[in-house]
Amino acid sequence: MIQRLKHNFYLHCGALAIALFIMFFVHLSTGFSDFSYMHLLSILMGGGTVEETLTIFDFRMVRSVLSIIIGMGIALAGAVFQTVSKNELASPGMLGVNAGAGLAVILFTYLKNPNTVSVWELPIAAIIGAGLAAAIIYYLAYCLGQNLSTYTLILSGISLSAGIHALEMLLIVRLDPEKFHQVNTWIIGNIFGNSWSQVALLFSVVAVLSIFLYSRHMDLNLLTLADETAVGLGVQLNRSRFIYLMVAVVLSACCVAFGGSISFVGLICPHIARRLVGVDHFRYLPITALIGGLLVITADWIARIIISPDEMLLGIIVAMIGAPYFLFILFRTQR
Amino acid sequence: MQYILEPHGRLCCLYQSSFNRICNAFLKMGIDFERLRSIISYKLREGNRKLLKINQRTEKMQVCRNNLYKRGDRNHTYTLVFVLLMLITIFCFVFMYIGAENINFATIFKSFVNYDPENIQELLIQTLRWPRLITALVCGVSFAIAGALIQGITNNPMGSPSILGINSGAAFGLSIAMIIFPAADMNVTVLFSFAGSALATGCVLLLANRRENKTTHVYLALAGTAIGAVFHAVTQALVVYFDVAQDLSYWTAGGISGIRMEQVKIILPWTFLGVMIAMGIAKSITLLSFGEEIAIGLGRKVYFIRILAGAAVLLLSGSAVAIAGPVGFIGLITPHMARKLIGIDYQKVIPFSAMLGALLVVLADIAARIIHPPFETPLGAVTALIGVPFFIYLLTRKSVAR
Repeated sequence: MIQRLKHNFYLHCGALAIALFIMFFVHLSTGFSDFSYMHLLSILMGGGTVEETLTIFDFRMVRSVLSIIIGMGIALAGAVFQTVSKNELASPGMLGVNAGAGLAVILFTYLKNPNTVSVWELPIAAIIGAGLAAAIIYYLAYCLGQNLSTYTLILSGISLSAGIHALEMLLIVRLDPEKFHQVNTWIIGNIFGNSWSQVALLFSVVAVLSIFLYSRHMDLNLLTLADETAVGLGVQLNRSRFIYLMVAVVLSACCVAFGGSISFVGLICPHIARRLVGVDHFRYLPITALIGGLLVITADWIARIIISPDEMLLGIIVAMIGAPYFLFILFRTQR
Repeated sequence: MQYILEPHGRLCCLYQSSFNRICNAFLKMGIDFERLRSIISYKLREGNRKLLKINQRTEKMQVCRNNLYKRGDRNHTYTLVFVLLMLITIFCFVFMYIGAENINFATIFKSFVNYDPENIQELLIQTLRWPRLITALVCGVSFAIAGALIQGITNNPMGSPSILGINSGAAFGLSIAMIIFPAADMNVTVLFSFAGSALATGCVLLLANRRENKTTHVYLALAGTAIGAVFHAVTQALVVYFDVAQDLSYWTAGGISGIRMEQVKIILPWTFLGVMIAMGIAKSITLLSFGEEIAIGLGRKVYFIRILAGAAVLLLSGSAVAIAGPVGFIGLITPHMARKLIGIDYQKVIPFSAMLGALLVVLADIAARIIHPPFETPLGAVTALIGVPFFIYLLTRKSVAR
């Protein structure tokens, strides 16, 4: 069994990487003006006009790369959170990250004129909001449960998210239609970044944290065991839970800031990965990340072509792909 | 020394005197306690492990005695009913009085006795505030009873309509109704809302029952959130794709401000039916809340009761959600308050939850109007702001966390 899964791991890794690469090209070539693949290749090699180079490198590639990184980040955050909470229905949204970021974005849009906002302000507001909400939820869980119980964490996350959503509703009814549209777009989920410096920031955060997680895959494996067993094997439960939860929060907060609340990715990608390669984090984490990237870039591509020249919202496409599959998995494993 | 069952189906031992008092309390509720005991001792002989877990902690015994004996006091109950009804009446008057324009009581009274449509204030009372008040009361009653039923049959202190995905299911049903029949009347909308809620609730219960041995209170909440997320996502997609987002957001944020009397009349029969079913099975619900084995042992058809209770929950919360939009937390809070006030007999818990629910929604809707005067605050937002602290308080109690 293990041999088969190991074999599958390299196979799946390769297949997913190739699929991701292909989707990257497809994503680059579609848009307001389509390029043929050969032409695209020549532009990438440096043989295009100034306009074409600008379109590809400064507009489209930013978005393609961002969507891959966001997908990977949220998927990894979901995987870590599901491991730490030992529950396959947990999703990064339950850490309050989405709700907090959403509230911050709404508050920000409510207070400021959206036309004068620089590219950095909205993501930073979102990160701050997400961090605050996560901190409150963590504090509650820690205080209520004496030691960090994942049950209280999940429950206080769910309830506090509901409370924050209520606050959001209070604010949303006061927004004028233009601002409402902007906020709604954010809440449903869309790729927002549009500069290489943002890509660099997000990439460095996601890369550092994923390398950290991957280097600690044995620790994560131990966390999936029963509490007593894990303690017996030398895991400091509270400390490692705290560390991995913080990693998950930072990962998803950064990704949510640039991608809106597409937390569905964090719910389903770990499921798919587990079905493909089992629960060993050495195999499970990379596959989750690859699936996350693939899912988001595919969804972004579909969002562009489905009602072109208009754009569908990314979050909706992710949900449309993810929701039926999620239900399918849940009810299949019933037998 | 005698053995007795706690509400959660575990055994604890009691001294003879306390045992006699509990026996009497059971007799008052119409339960044959001798038969109950014979079943227990039979199970003990069988060596049923679950029932053999003998719990000797005195605090638990205290809770058990308090619930069954002290709080069943009759005078106490009547006083509470009186106080609650008084409060509801007072706040109903406040409800009619407060608003964008404050209307004095003489005018309110006159509009009922001698209605003059030419008078703006009387028109306001009769066409806006009166239907709105009725809706608030009906919604409060519906959500509260639905919550009490769910908590009773699942034996889960966190059961509530919104956790079972009723809200997201109803939104899904409504969006389908808006897409297929853009000009549909309220009857069709309510039906679709029922269907949507039933679908979502069915999914949540299927999912929660999947892990028979591991089912915890948390798992139900998680299953509810996950299924809710799925339905929410699909609804979002449908709504944006077919461009009815505005209609749905009107339903989501509208609360109960624009209700007309005809709409109220459409849901009233459903609510009435639901309340009747709930009261009819209240006694069986009490037994079910002690644990499934006891209810079966005492000759209750558990599946039948569950199906009836499920139907009542759908009737009540489906109709209330269809008319008032997603109003959470009422169904979660009120049964707990009711149990604190009068004990665990569901023949009392259900009417008490209903009264408390009506009171809470009326209060919340008054708050919704005075928070930000010229505008309305969504009712669901206000109830969530009340409900979240309560939910966190619930979490602090040990029995819920695991």
